[in-house]
Amino acid sequence: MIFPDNALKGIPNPSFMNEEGNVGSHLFRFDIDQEIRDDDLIEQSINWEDDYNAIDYTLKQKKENGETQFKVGVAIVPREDIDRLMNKHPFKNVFFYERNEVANNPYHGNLLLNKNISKPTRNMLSAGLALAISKIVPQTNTISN
Amino acid sequence: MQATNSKNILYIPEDYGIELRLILQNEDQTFGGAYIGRYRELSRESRIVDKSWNFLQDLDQNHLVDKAKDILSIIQDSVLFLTGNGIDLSHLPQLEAFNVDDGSLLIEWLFEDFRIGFSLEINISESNWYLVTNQKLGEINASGYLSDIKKTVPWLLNFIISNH
Repeated sequence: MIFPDNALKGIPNPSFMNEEGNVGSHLFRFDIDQEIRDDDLIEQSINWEDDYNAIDYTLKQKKENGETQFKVGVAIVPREDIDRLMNKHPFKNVFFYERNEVANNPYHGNLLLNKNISKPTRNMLSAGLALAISKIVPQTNTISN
Repeated sequence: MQATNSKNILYIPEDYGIELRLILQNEDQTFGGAYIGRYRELSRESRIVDKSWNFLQDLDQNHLVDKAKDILSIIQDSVLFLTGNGIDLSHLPQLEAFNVDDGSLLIEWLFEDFRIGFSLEINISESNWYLVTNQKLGEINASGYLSDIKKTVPWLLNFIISNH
């Protein structure tokens, strides 16, 4: 399967940011309480930057209740950095990604982590992903709350 | 450390006596205030923890907040110790504090090439720390639980001094 150069991670609200405009690592936390898949992996939603529309599409995504989903903006994470994490201890063979197109979102994908990974390692991975952010594109659309 | 209306003062744990004596023996060191019992004013390096400390002050007090304050105090103590020995840490960024959706608290130190974090989990025994670096600094991934945090913090500060 072909993947683009960048993953996109939406920033839901200002609680994920500091005053200097940097993202806290908790933006990339894996939710361990989610339903576990048959392959024992837990999912973290991203979009793939497949084309020039992907960022704008992500910025315009809405929740089911009509609210703007990512009120702050979108963080861009180079896939080569994700690959680097994926191939390094202690993430090798427990951290993956996938394309997972869903209704009305052709860009959707997941970062995937084995459910048995310890909390320190999970948080360390989140920090590695946050450290890899190359750019944050701010929300410029009219926000509906 | 505890906050008052006028200033922040640092609580000095009893088991910190040896390092405190070392600081006080350094005649070049000033603390910007008088040593009063087991409390003293923070030095100018207190700005490293001030922001996250104030964030915690605004939260409902619970065991996570208490533990987070303990960690900030340990960091502050270590910073003061190093400063007292002539190491300039005034250029370090401030520690950030975040509420996390899963109910945990995150104290994080953000640098251009690395991140250091302390995660206070609802199950306090699962609380943990991490250090991650980018390719420029060799892609270090280190983490652990907080059981030995008094030894970990000086090690992390040593890393910061060497790489920032």
